[in-house]
Amino acid sequence: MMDTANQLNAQGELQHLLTIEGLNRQLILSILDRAESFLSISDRSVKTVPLLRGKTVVNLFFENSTRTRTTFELAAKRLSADVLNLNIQTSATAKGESLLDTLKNIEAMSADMFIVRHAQSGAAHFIAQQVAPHVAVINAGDGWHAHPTQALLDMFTIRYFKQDFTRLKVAIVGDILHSRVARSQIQALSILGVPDIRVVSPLTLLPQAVATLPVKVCTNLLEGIEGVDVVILLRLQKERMQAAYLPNGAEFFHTYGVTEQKLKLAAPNAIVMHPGPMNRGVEIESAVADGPQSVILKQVYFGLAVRMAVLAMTMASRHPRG
Amino acid sequence: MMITSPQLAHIFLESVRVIDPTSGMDGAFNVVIDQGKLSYLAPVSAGRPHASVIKPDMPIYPAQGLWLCPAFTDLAFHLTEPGFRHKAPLAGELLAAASAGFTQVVGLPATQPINDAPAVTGMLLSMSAQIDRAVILPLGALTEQLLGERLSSLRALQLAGCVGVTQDQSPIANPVILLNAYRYAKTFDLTVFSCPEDAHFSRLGCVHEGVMAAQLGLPAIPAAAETLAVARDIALVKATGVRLHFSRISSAESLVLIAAAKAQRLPITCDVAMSHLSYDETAIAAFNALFHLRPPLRSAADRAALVTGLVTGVVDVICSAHRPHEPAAKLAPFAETEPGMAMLDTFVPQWLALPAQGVSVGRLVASVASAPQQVLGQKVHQLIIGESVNLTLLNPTCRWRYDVDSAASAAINNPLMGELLQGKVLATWRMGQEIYRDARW
Repeated sequence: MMDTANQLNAQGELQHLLTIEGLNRQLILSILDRAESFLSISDRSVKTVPLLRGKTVVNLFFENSTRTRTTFELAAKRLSADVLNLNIQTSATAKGESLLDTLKNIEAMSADMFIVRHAQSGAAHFIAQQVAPHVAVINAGDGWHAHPTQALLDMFTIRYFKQDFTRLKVAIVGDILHSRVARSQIQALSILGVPDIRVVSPLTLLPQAVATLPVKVCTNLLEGIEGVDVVILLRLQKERMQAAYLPNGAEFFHTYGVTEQKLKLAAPNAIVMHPGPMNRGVEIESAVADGPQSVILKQVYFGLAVRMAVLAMTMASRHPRG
Repeated sequence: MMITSPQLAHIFLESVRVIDPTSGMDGAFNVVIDQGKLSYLAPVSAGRPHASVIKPDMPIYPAQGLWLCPAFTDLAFHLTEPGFRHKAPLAGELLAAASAGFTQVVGLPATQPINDAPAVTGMLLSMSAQIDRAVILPLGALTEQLLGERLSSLRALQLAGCVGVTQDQSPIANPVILLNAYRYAKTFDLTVFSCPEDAHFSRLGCVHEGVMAAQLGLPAIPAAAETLAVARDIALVKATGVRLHFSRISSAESLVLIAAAKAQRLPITCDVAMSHLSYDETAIAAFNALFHLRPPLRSAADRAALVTGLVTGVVDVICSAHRPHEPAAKLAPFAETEPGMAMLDTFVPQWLALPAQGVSVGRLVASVASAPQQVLGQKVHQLIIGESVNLTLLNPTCRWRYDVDSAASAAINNPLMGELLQGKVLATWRMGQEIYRDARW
């Protein structure tokens, strides 16, 4: 696959992380391996390493986020970077400044890395095209397009519990159409060789060209999760009820919500994942969210190590400035 | 930009390929234009014209391999003045239109102020006369401020010089208003130009609902957004008898509906933008905002159907849909960029690429010359002895690099910037006057 996003340098190393598309299996596995090496740091009394000492990492969040921003901040601090958090919604762009001007201003403060979340698909690509060559851009979620670090931490979680990707059956359940998480997960699972990737959703919440994605489409949850090793649930946004994508949350829960009862159709030791935040009683029953097969809090825990790995690897691929 | 007054055409074109589909002419001719008027036209086989025809001060140009066609007419041209001079000054864009072979361009009404009143129409016409290059044929706004609520003074717009009326790309949701608007337009024999988009869909998306929308997670507009509007317009043409021209069709399914309507002899015509004959949705890979167009680029099958429509005649006209932008308009995340492409500089090279896809040279020329004039109800330009010439002379094979220096338009929002292109207009003559001449010719 081509590196259309221009996120790799001539040596094939990450210089930005914008999307999973275009990464190869070896590179994804090396990120997971690197994350594994960072996992133990959290358990030490001194929880920092000096890999990003003297570097300035800017969290550019144009969209609300608590969890993702916090883990990125923590990851950067564990790598000894200086971290700047900018909540753009309440600052310059709200006064009419263009994204490009905001960007150039922050860049002038000698930033080395931007971690970007934006409501528009393609925003991270755009920013990566516009920044000075020494600045790395990490996509922390752009519109409905991509959320690569979420997909990587999901792959880390799956590998932790299931080891071999090449025999897995994975079901992704919920709103695929509007999900940047699902798009990145599908790409990652496909690159890692998962032979059976299913998306389970009503037709209103699937991209119309879903046939061009490497997935099987199931509109029936019971068929979709039958025998799967991994069940990934997606958050259902409340506003979907307003544009006639769905009748109401109760009908969605009845038809596509994963309950203890329905989970019995999956493989006996199947794991249940969710990128958070969860809507209990909409896409997931509390008994499942808190049950023995749920690995949702593990995902959060692994997320920190995966983001440390991404930050360290993108920075390492760059030549020192000046 | 300093623009000097045009000179009268005065030249002997020796052995030029004259292509005039209206009169069925396609062959090597000797052509003499004397002080703006056609004074001699005969096949090369008839020998050299008599010495008395060629005036002593007349340049003699060996024109073997060049094409001489009736001058071109553009049915969709975004005017940058009044209101959008920062995108590209209008004078330069009308010269750029002449450099693409156009002697007249249909100016869309979404200027600032909007062309919904005779005073604005008058202003456009006086700017056009002052600039004196390609002439603006204004389209009036169908409703006041293009809001889709109250009708503009359509009769007054017509009397002021509007060649038709349109809602442009501000679609009307309410069919009652549309029915009355069309009926009122029919009263005065006004042609309605319709950009078919369902009002609800067009607010939501920015790309075709297809493979790229699935990959890139961009909000999509299904082809049905267009076909719904086409079907509704056809029903309203039946109900009102108004003459309706579909502007910038993008989908195969729309052409099926239009072909059926034409078979019923309804007064319907349609055009396709050059961009949609050249590119499909895959061009937006990696969020390339230069391909953010409205209507969006659709599937490869849609693009192929548009070309086929041109071959079969379901598509009457190719328009430029020229839409210049300042660089900042394209510097934002994809959905937040302004749609449109500056097409004038690459129009002729892209147009010349169509015969390789099965479009005959006759259809090719008709689609930019006689067909758009017929849509406008004009007398079609022809080569008639004694009459002032309206002609485009072009070299279909010369290669040139499209860059900031060679570009005629001030706008550079075109993905072919920097590429080597083939084919160039050498001169454009309107009413005997040379409104464009290639500097190196």
